[in-house]
Amino acid sequence: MLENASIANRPVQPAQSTAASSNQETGNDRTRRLKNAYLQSRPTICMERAAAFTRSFKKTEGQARCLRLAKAFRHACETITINIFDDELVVGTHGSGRRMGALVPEISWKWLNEELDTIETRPRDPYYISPEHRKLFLEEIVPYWKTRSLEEKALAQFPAETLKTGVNTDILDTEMKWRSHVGEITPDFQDIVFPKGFRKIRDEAREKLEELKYTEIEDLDKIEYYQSSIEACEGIMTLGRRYAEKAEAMAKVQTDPQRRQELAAIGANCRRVPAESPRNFWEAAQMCWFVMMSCFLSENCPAFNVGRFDMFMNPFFQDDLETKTITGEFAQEIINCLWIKIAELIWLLPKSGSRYYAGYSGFTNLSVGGRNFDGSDAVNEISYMAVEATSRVGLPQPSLSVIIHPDTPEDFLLACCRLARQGIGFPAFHNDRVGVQMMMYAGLRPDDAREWTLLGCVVPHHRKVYEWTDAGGYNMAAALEWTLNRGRSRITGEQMGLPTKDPREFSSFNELKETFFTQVRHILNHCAISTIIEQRLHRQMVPRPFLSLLVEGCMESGSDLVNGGARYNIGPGWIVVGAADCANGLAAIRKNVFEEKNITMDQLLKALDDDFVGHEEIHEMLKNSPKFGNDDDYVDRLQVEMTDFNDRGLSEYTDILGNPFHSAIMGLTYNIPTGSVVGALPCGRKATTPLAEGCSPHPGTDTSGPTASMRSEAKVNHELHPGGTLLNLKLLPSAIEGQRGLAGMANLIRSYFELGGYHCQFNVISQETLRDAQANPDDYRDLVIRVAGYCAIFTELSPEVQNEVIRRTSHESL
Amino acid sequence: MERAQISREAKRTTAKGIIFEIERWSLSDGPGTRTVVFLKGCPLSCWWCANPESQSDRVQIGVFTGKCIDCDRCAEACDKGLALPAVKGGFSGNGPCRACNRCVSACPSKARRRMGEFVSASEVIKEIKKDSIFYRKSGGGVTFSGGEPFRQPEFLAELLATCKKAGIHTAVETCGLFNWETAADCIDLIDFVMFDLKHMDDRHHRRLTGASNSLVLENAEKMARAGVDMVIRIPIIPSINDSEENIRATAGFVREKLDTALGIEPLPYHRLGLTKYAALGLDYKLSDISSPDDDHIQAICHLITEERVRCFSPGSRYQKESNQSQLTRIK
Repeated sequence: MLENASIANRPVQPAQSTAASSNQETGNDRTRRLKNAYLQSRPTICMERAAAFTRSFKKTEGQARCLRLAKAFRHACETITINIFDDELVVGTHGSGRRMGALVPEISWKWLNEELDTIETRPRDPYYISPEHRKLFLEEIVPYWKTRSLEEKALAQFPAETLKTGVNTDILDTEMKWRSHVGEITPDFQDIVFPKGFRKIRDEAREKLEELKYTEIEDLDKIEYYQSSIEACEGIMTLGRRYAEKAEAMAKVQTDPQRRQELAAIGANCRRVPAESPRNFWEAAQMCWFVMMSCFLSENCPAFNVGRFDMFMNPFFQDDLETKTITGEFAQEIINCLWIKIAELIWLLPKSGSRYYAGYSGFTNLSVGGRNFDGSDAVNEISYMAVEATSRVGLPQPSLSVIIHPDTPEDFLLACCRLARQGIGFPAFHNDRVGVQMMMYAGLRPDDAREWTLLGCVVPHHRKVYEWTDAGGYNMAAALEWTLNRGRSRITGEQMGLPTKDPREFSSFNELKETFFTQVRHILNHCAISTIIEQRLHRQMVPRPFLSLLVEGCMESGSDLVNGGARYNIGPGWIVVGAADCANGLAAIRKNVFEEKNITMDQLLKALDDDFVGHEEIHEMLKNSPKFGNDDDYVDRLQVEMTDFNDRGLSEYTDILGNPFHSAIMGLTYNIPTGSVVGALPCGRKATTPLAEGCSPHPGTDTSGPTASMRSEAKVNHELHPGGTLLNLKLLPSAIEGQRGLAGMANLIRSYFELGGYHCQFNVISQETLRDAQANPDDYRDLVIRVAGYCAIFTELSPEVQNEVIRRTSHESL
Repeated sequence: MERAQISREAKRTTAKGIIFEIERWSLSDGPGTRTVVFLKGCPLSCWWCANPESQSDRVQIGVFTGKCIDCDRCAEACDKGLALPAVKGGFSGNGPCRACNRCVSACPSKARRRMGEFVSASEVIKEIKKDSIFYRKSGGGVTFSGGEPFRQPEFLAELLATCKKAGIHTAVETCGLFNWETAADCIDLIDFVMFDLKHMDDRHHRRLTGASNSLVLENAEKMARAGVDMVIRIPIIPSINDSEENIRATAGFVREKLDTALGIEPLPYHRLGLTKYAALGLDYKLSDISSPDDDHIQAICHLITEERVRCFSPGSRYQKESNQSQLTRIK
């Protein structure tokens, strides 16, 4: 029905622009209608998944944990609402409607119990919850999971000092892995999902099972593992069947002939996938979606990644073009529909967590570009169409990442820059060379490493890897505060760090710096303690039967991801926050106290105690000291020392699978809550204000233009941080207009990457626009803005975060 | 060996000049990504000048009211009794001030800014080289602007020669009013020139810029004959120099006399320099004119194209095309 040879054979032109595309095409009408429906839907808490898990758990008491979770997953697949919305070409929801946050009570439920009356009105990321779901929660879910959640066990097992430093302190954010599930998986579409289909995967598990004996002690765990695999396969196949039935039933009563035909086709697609291998592009897209939404059904949490979308979808597209069964425009429409489905995936978080990860984002990353396994360039027509889809759809998810290498076609890079110039914050640009180095540092073979992909916001990842990329985040600025206050918080006066010597007695700058590193080490110790306890609990309580199907190695070895079944296991990553504030602060002390002796340590401490009030001259002197981000080695070298230390300090610890911890310097909106607990700092930052985000300069202090920012940033040894690093640059539209601006932007990227930078992203927007959006949110519902490495709808952010975005330095070249 | 080093060092520091700014990542001052070095001192004093501190060839002290915390440190520091906090009226920076810098160092809030610095060529080169990678990847380089860079010919020649030796593409932005003979050494070292023609009518030119355009036009012709890649720039000041007559006259001049020029680039007037006038205590003569909009600039481009001269609209690249040599003579 969609045959049109002339269109089918027309290559998709990257230069076809985008925002101004005509709306006469039905594809764009459909996209617009679906997007409107999306924007009108309200983020809602859904208890369907929690209820299914609870009911199933009640019936499986006494069985192996992995089997119980697999049966619960299957039960959820059998019972959740089946939704097919108007206009959709790709169907499926993981809850009762669009944009559903599903509670995962086996991890944590207490927070919702406490926030039940306030979650609809909380400042960041409010959620609606219906009376029925509220009732379900209070009457069925809470009574069962009381004393049974992972959260309760973790808090009971943490040593007292870890509790004191790492729970609700904003010094260590340990809650990432006891309040939320793990996520952080990229389904292996290339080698497992597409070539096999879940029926074949199930049959493989059955065969494995036949070889095992209940009489062999080593076999028992494997028997349970394969049984859980079979249950999980049955679960997702059931979903497909239920969607097929629904679509067929809807087709029967549909009066519009075009939609009837579409529904029939959707029904046929769901008859085929996910049980069997997809045979064409549309089926492949539907299968991709079934797997992504099932990831969210199994664990509502962030960073389930689509992976190298262009790489695994292009063969289907080329085959369909060959047989003239698809047109470029229809394929584009399917991709747009898939994008909107991905945007529906949201991550339900407590109030505390929403401060760190503002914007509802599910952090569903999707990567294009890069290189193939054999090293050749991987850009194909789907790469351009993915860029086009983000341009046309313009929603904060999927998190579109492009991987750039020296041989990346210039027109593809320019197409990406054109998208970035639209001001929606995408794509995120990543350097292939450094990504590969990071993966190799984490233990991958070079050829595997070439097929790396992005996870969450900026984390280098691979589909054959199991890891906790975000075990938590810690506040490095607290260590500087402790160094200058004998381990006490300057805000509360409480002893939080080590009681080191009186800073007035430091005889040299180096002594001060060493003391600072001692305080950092103290924090890192608690990072490691919390992670190891959490990992042990995850292994005992929340194996991952569905997700283990998607990663190579688990089926082969008969062990779940939590037991190290994946082909590659990488140690946990900890995110450092405020590195630049420490580098700036240490530089200011070195310059003003030790070298130029403009002030004494005593004067400095008094000024910090008073938050600079009454010490305006000292404050100005500190603010005007060298700042990271201006290509000034005096301070940039300290930033390198801070970040290098993060790698060395963390890699001293190994996790429960024997892999070293590693460093991440990204940030999300971590810099705001962490800043709120730190007093005045010697860099001139006032008490409780935000810290620097990720690896970026402190907001407003990189005043020497983007090339200087990039040169500073490139001094950091990015390959030492397999948890990712980020650089956000905000550019005013006037700086990058015309062909010159576009070429200038591409040049920034190529040059930064040649210098050894890892990631950069552009916030192209005017401050006026942002202020106007603050004042008139209704006029800017679709204004997508990047907050520290990811995108969110600007008007849905809290004023605090909005202000932060506005305050960031703009690089204007006039 | 040691002597060689010393003499190299000595050579490196022979030329000193006065500059007022180095701007990195400019996309609008020549091809590709550029670092722009602004040399201080200009024979013209155009009404619309966006960099009033570029005109004097002395170091000046600018005072910025917005940053002043009224601590009186500047007044205490000044041994001539000239300096006052900006919020109390500051100080105009002209007359008996020798820019000794005491008030600037004393100011804790950076409300007083030294405008202009005597620097050695090697110091400037060090800054220029920082962005080498960005030049290499974009076909960019360094641009010497001003002020009028040819007013410091020895300094400029050394900067240009060192950049050429380092493989850095060189460009100059000039107002055209300079002594050709003293600038001759420089001109051989320039890859690209942006040459301003502010008004073709000498009466207007004298009134608006304070000098005649006859030497400007003469130098433009010499520059064209010297074979340097050249773009002619017209600052578009609405109602001041944007009449059809002046645009056509400029384009006609380019077509007839500057046949090697790549084309004309209109530069939209803007008022971003206003605070610097206040900082220097100078009057701004054009305060009620607003920037031309895109349509206005398009109309100017249209006139230029009608005159059969290539027009580079704002944001377009100075791409040389295969038929470049004929571009200005589309006859």
